[in-house]
Amino acid sequence: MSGQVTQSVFLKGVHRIQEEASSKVLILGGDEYGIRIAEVLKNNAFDSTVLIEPNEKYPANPKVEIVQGSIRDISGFMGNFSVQIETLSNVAHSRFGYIVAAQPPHRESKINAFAIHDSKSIYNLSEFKHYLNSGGRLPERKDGWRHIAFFFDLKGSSDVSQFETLVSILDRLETEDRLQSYVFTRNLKVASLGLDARFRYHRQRGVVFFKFDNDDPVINQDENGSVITFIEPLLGEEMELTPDIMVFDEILGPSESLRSILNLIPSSPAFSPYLQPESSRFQGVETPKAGIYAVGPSRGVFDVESLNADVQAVTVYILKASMEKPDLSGKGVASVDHGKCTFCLTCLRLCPHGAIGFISRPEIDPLSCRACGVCVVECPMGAIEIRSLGESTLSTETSSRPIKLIVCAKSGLQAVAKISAGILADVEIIALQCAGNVSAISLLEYFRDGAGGVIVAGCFKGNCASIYGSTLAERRVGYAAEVLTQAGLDPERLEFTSVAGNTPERIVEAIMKIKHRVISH
Amino acid sequence: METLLYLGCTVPIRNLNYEVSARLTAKALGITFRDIEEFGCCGFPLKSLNVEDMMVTAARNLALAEREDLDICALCNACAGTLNEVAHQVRTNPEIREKINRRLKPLGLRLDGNVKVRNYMRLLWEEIGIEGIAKAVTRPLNGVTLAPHYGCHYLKPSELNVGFDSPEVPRTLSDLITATGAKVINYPSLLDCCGGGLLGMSEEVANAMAVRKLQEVSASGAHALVLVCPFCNVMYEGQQKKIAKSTGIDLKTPVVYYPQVLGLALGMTSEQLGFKLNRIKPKELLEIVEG
Amino acid sequence: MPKINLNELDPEFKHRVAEQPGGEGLKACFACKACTAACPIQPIDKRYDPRKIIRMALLGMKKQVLESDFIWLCSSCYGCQEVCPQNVRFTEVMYAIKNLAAQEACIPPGLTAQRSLLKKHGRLYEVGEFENEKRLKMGLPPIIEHAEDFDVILPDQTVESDRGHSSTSHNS
Repeated sequence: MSGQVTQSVFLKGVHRIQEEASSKVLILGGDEYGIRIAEVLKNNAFDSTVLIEPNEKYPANPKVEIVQGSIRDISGFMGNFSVQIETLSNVAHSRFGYIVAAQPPHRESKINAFAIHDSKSIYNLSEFKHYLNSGGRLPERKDGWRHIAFFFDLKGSSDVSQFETLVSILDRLETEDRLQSYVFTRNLKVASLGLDARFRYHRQRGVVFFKFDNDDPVINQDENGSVITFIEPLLGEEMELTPDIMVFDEILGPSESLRSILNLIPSSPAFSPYLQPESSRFQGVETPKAGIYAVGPSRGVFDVESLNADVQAVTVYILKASMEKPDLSGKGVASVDHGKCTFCLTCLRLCPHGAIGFISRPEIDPLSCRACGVCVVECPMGAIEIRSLGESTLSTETSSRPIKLIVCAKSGLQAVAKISAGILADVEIIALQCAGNVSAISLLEYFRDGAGGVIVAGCFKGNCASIYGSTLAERRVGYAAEVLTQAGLDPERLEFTSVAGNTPERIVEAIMKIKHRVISH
Repeated sequence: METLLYLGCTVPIRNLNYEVSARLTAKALGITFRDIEEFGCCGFPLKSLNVEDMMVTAARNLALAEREDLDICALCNACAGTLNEVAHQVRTNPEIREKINRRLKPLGLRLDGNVKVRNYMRLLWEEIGIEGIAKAVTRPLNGVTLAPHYGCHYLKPSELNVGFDSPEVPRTLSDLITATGAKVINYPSLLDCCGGGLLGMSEEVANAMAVRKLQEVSASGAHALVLVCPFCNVMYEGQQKKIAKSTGIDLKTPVVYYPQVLGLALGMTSEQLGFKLNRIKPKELLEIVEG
Repeated sequence: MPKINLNELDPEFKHRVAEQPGGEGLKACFACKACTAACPIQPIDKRYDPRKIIRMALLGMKKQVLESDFIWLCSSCYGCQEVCPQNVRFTEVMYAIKNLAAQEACIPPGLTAQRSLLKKHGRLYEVGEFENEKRLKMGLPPIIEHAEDFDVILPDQTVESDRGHSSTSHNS
């Protein structure tokens, strides 16, 4: 291949699970968490490679394999990821069964937000912690006390992990003589194991906390140092402090190197910059694409407690995935009829789970496919189908009942169980794996075949297990309504509603609306 | 039962009506009060200057009582509170016990803290009981309405009064009053502090603290305000005229002590109970009781 | 009002208050304001605000606290102490602060006078023949002063009772 970065959707090699790759794991990020994951995986008979950015430092650790470099190219599916890694000396090509994104967060100092410039007595939280832990000394004062000012959660919300760092610095400073610490903050973030107790301990021993609702403190800096001016929140009096040291918190975000992984998941623009959508559909370290796992900062959590939990969870998820027997029969997943396929690649570009790849033709990976049906509906040639284990997937018997209610297995199906039979009289329920499997044509066909009304119930935006399955369903309902209007039929007999498993009242509302429409017209 | 009577500084000089009625009612109910001549100030006025000085002063009185192996019954809330607090601290804190005893040594005294201190009303409640009082009443005070005033140191700090009364919804004094046959009114400023502790510091602030209760009791039509502490008396009786003058509110609240009320119900005369010394005469009350 | 300079305040002050008997709970305060809400003095004199006094002590405003006259306005009603969720025991903390003020010779004259009376008579009110005659008339036993004990247990103080004057003072 040439030296350029190629499209990630193109597979190299054979589309089948490669035995030798299936027990290899690529871990991105070499701080203590990445290395711990490698060690735990090793104890469970997985080989892993820890990939560290060229400018990252790491402890010498012979127990796990560490490579320093960056990803040049990556593609593939669970059990068979193809990765090109560029190091200082060469470009290497490897295969991995699983990818764990465990990069440390990107840090941006809030010093700039206070309109001051960096100086010798100014630190970031993580910087200062490192400085103290490696034996850094505090300035001396012959007489009087030394004052150190911390700034937290001002000029933008801060993560609880930053407060953890602040408290661990206070732990370290406790033994210093004649040192008064002040914390200037908006809110205190103590929601982490034991953090509240540690904070209270420091408040009790005399650390002063200033909590500002409005009117943040102002810092004036000149060549001699800085002066903090503020209105004491409880006394209402104007005060000033000239600290010996100032420590600022940081804004934490995802690592830059997540980009190449995000590109493997076509639906990622809907939930980037993190690798895991914010909905409850994605638990633990799951991402929408099988075989890719997001740890800590990659999924927007930065605190020690969550990171430790993620380290444990990764092994569990990988073990679970490795023990699932791949069903290559094609049942229960989507597959392409290559006779009808025109290679438009719409399916590939839309699959929320990144389950479709292209060698000489589109291929759907059976381990990654979740049978949501988005590709089935979007394929302009109708070339994709989901073959079920039985006659048809999850639909009930058609009857001559007037109102069709289409629900998805994740929400509407559970809600419907709570609705009384009286309201469901004359309603036929059609259950799908995902609302994304509803096509505009099928909605029109229901009307053609005599339905009095049609309701499509999809999950709330942001809560769809297929990322945008319900969004697409709503759009298709819109198209169908337009067609009905143009055909001179009543578009109000077609309704889309967002539901969850515990909102049966929303379905009831839609049913009553349609029934009323049917009766009165 | 036998107990030591602790008078404090103010009662034996300024509130003889309280002392006399306490002694008479105690005798009538079978309580023997014994006096210790060496009893002196409880130490309360010293606390703001030096807590330890206060404790030693209180400890001296407690040690004298402990020597006699008798409990203390006090007439002033501040005395009772102070002595009780110090006894508790000496009893439960070895460091304090050592410190205090070191300072008591030159006097040849020693305190372990095993002295129970109660004010007279608590003693009546716990030793005689409401039923006991009701039984002893020979002249029920029917037709009399009274307003109780507990005072702060009678109820607080609550940890020293566990099992006795509640600082938020107290009832002991009301019950003691109703046991005599009189009715009790409940009024919003029941729990107000009299402000007596501040009279020496700022008369203005102290008077401002006493106004509300005087106003409410005055307006309520109660025949008297019933007190259990000479400090409170200084404010509600002693300062009443001044407060009425400075606020322009017409205040005519007779102020009596509980043992005086109890004594009347036990059949004693107002003369015996020192009513002559009550500065604002409870005319209506005495009319109803004595005719 | 001039700005208060934190560098000139005394971070040691809060520890000194906490070292006094009764002052231990000071640093537990988290400024919920229940004490101020329960205080009967606060509505009468706004300067007496328990929460603010604690905050001033925690910030090290030693001079402003010890030399003030409002710290002597506590009536020791214990209302604050009863409602405090953190067991600060503010009534006792106020006594601790007043004790420190006394050590710095900032005492209202009335209190020093009371102390002298105790040292001299063992009581706040002198008891003489006149008083005992009145008692006798009412059938009450006489009161005898035993001041010598008080002279022993209360140490000498050479303190000026006016505020702000420097002087020598020592405790036992």
